[in-house]
Amino acid sequence: MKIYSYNLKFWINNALGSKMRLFLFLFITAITSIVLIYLFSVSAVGFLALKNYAVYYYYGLAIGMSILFSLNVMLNVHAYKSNAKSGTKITAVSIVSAVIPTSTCCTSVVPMTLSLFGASTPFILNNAGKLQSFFSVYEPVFFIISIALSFVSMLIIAKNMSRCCRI
Amino acid sequence: MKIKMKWVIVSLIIAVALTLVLFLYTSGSANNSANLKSLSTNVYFRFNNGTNISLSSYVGKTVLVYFVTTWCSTCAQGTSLLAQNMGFFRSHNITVLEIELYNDLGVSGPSVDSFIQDYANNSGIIDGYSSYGMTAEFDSAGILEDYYLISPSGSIVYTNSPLLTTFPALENFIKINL
Repeated sequence: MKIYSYNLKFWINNALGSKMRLFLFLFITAITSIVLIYLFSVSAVGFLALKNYAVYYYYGLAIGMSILFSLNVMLNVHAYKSNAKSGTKITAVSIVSAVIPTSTCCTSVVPMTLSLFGASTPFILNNAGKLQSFFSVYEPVFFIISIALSFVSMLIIAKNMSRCCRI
Repeated sequence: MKIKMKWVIVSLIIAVALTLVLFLYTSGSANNSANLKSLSTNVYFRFNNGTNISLSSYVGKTVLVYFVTTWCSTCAQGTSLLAQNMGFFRSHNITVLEIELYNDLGVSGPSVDSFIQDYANNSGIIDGYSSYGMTAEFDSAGILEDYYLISPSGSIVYTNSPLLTTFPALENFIKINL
């Protein structure tokens, strides 16, 4: 694995190296977890396949993603303070890809957008479902992409830090 | 310092936008002036055995009509929630209908019959398939699920969506008004 070639563990320890930073990391993780658990619960993530067990799935997913997002934020801040190139764009894309399926499927976002663009009722009734079902069917793929991008982002930051900042 | 302020402002805007979306998502409306007696003849639904039935035939009963698509996860959990609360609806003499939106809104999902068996088996929910006219009348916006509470006089007294997050409001409305 290339993870250790950029010494990711070292830079994570460094980014969380003080009580204040650790507290900030835990705070961001807690807030993000609450928001994601709420979003996943109101959009019934995983319920179609897992029924009542879905709650374990989305709790685990939300907490895991929150830890990754918070690590990314802490690493980005650390990189910024060390004058190294950060990975904010990839972090942002990973967060967006986690939120997109929950906010587009099973909410009124897509139908409202179609209405705003002046779509007719027959068009909406024939196509709003297709758009939303895409996000519903590929929901796990969006989550995998989000997690993968979080890792990629951390690797890029670690690589940039290794190049610029010797400790 | 300028960069820090920029991030604070961006974070605040995102937080406000998210709160607004969540508020809009969980609130919904409770106003609709339609009456079952004045519905046109193309507003009907079909039972699994092929029989077509007009909603107006339910005038005289309190009816909760839950429109769903059978491939949507909030509809599945909403159905499960309905099944868990059938005792509450029976105690208020409310007939519960679960109707699959016309053509599942353009996506092929399981039949509403097997959907009910999966998520609300033996619950007493009556299921059927909506005609195009019925979907256009009650869900012209193409929302994946919404529900209507109809009084014995045929008028819609409460409507909202999605059931999963608005159920406490519906329950409260029924307790106070029925």
